[in-house]
Amino acid sequence: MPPVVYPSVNLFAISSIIALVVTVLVVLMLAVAAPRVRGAIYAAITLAGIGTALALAVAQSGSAPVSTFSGSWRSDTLSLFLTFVILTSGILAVLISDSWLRLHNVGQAEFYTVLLCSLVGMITVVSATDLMTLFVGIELMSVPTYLLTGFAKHEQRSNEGAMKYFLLGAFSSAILLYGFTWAFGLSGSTNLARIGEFTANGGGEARAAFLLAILLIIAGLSFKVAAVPFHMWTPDAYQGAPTVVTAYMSVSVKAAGFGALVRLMTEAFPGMYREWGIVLVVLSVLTMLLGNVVAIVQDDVKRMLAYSSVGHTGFMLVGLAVWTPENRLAVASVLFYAFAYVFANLGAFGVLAWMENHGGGTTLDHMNGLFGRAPAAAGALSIFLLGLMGFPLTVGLPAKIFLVQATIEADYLWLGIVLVLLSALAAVFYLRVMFRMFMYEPRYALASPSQPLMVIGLVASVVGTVGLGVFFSPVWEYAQRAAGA
Amino acid sequence: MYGDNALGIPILTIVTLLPLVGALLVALLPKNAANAIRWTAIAIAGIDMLLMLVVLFSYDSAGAGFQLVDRFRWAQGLGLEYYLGVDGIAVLLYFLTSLLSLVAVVYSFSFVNHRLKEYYASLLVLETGMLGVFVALDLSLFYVFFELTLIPMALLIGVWGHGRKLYSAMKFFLYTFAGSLVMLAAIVSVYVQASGRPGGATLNYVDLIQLAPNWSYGFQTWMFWGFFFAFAVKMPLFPFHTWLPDAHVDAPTAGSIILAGVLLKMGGYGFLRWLIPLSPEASVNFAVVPLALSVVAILYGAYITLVQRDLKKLIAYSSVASMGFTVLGIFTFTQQGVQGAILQMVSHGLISGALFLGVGVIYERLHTREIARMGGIANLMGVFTALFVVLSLANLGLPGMSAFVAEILVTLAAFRVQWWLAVPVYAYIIVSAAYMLWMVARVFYLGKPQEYHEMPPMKIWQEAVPLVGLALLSVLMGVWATPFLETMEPAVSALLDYLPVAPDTGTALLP
Repeated sequence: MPPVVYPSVNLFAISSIIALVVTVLVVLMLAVAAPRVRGAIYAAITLAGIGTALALAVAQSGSAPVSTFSGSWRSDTLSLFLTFVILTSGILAVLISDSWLRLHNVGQAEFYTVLLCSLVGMITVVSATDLMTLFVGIELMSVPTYLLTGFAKHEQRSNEGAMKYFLLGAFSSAILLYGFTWAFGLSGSTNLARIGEFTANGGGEARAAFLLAILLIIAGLSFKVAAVPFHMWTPDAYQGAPTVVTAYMSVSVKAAGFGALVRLMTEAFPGMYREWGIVLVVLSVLTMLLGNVVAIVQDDVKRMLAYSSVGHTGFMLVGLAVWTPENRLAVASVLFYAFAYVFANLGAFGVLAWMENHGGGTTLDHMNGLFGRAPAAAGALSIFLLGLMGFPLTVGLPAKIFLVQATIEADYLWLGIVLVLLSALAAVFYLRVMFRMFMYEPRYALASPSQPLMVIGLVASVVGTVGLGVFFSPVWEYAQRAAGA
Repeated sequence: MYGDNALGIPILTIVTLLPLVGALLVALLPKNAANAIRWTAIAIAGIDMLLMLVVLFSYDSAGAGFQLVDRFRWAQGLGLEYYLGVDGIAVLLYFLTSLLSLVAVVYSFSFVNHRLKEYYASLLVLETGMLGVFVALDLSLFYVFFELTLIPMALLIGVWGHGRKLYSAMKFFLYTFAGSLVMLAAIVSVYVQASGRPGGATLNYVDLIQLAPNWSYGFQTWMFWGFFFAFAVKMPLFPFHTWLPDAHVDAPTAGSIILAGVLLKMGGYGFLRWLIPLSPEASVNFAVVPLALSVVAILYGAYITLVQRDLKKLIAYSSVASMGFTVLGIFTFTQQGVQGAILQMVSHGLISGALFLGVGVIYERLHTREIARMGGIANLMGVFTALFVVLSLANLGLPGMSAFVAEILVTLAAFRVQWWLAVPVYAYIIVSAAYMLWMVARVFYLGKPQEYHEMPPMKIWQEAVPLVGLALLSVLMGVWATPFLETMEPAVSALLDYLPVAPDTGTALLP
């Protein structure tokens, strides 16, 4: 009998998700053992757990890349950068969710459990270097987000959004899996690096079949990141979901989805970048165009932001689409954008959630005269919208600049100019909200419950949006290192 | 090479950022302390003006290169700098900004009564943005200041304006924003292009003009068009001018003063500071486009002014023609032309600022801007009429006033480059006289105002003093332009020496 060989396992490399899983167990046990706990105890435990995970990720950031679990998991600067992005969005999400959960008397333990599970999934997605692990991560990320979307279970729209998201999501997972099987069948390996070796010369005789695999994979992941024409679920799911959930998933799922795209395209199919580059260029132009144009005609700010987030997916796709083996800026610009987007977009949805908690709505009319009623909220929302617009002194400007820079490096200047012109178009709907807040007379009254954690979360987002707008260079350098790894 | 600071204190930083600090101060004051807010804003703008005099007197007008420089690295490793400095091209416009901001703040004292805090904060932030544009010598910093002016101006129009103010504010913002985003793409291209040099990436003016002449013609072409739209919209050059009448008509008086007086000059300044130096060869070859557009702007602007019924719109359209002279002068690439262009910018700032203030004076009393409903104001407000008529004559280029000197310099330059280029300018002289005099006659002399039989006299500090001051400055520049021309001469010569043109004949490409 041959001796059993245990794979060498480095538990430190997965310590972040271990911390999160332990937190899940603690939260669940607490809910069973002491069902009547009050106050922010669940939020505190969850924050502590995510904070620990973040600290563990920071602790790993100094060391060399670690590949473990038979090469199916890698902890390197790329995965760590995205882990920071994801955990940051997790922390901010917990901060802004607390008051919504309490006002609506929704199960806090369940909410945080599901949220933590989705974080585990996302970290798995960005760290996986094996198709199987990647797929497990994607499912672990997706299923909790379907649940979160339907978390306001007495609201029809929340249910409808969750159902739509679930059905289309399952469909896309199937397409993705089909693409994975093609890639596995052709190359004989599920390991990304192995597939990369196989496709290094363009796939040889299996070239056409590999192209099919790539197309299927891009289609599957395009659902996750909401790229046109696979974005149909986005407006309904984003609008139907509780606003705090939209805030969270619009940034974190996107970051994780792009992590998967980056890993797959640059590690499994680097030799075929001309082919998938063209596909992504087309997708990015369509996505930018549709997202930003359709957003203009929306009357509901939440739905408008949903379409605008489709537009931002298009911007980020530009960064990846211009990837070449020599272009160091392509991946770095996507990473930086993902990080920038966390603060601005999560913050913008966060302010909408804040208004809903105060008895306001999310239509344009509800924005009227907000500055007179709640100057801080209006100011914060303006900063977030300016950030999304790409205005100087907010994080959106360097983020867009780096994308344009990446397009120039790759001799794709026209794509950069399309990006820039559509950003100008996007200013139309962001401005409209700001005009309503500052220049119209108020129409609806707002109640004033106290939301201490929400305020902390929003202030942190403002600090992130403005602070990174001025002192962007450390993050940018880190993103470049991550892209080079 | 990068210039030095003879004064030893970071005076440009102080002057530029003081209004921003003032805006924060205003924002911290309690909402109902109306007079405290007003006086704080006036004090800040006044102190800024005094400090501006320090700048003006410590500026050595014989020196070439940048003076009073503040410079340090802002983003290490990325090559971005915080770099401020003035030269002969910028110093007068820098001064003008501070002067007109003070006028706008003082004028607003009793005429603006709601949402005071936001109003003065916007005005002061706007001032910082405009001041920064004229002294920023790093492209990234320039872009920040350039964009910083957008929001407060849009707020001024949208909140404190009249009529279709939201439409106008949106139009103003979007036109400018679209133009400057194309410029942003151009800036990023510069950055990528410059990052190959030995010293690492840079967006610093002094370094860039070392690099620019070596850039390929194709890249220079992209530089030219990349920057062109941003500045052409701002100028505004025909056919990008359509936002201007709307913005002016709906803006509050103080907003119009600043818009006409300073914001438009950011376009002309941008041409001189960034567009031309970054595309030396291309801008000489493409000069025919701005030249043609400027001639069209002068004629079209003048003719369309002729048919305006709204007093404010009339002056707004006359700005299109006046700014056409600036572009015409710049792209002749002659000493006279460029100096005339800069002088035209300063002079137009003084005159149109004062004229818009004058429109405000009438509007506050009659509550209309329709020329048909005015008339006979000379009988009711004698002194004001005299001032307004003087300014109107200045606007049409009467000898002895600043616009005359500027326009004659530009026309001479145009004539020397191509004689027929100056022909439309003569038509302008006639048409501009027609519309200004027609307006003066209808508003002040013929008939009677239909609504009022008496009008309160001008408020001394808010209305009379600024009008007199601006008119006097215009006269001073008109009769004794030498010091102004001498101030800009070294910088303009340096710019022209840098370009591949003959200093006498300028734009040699034209047939």
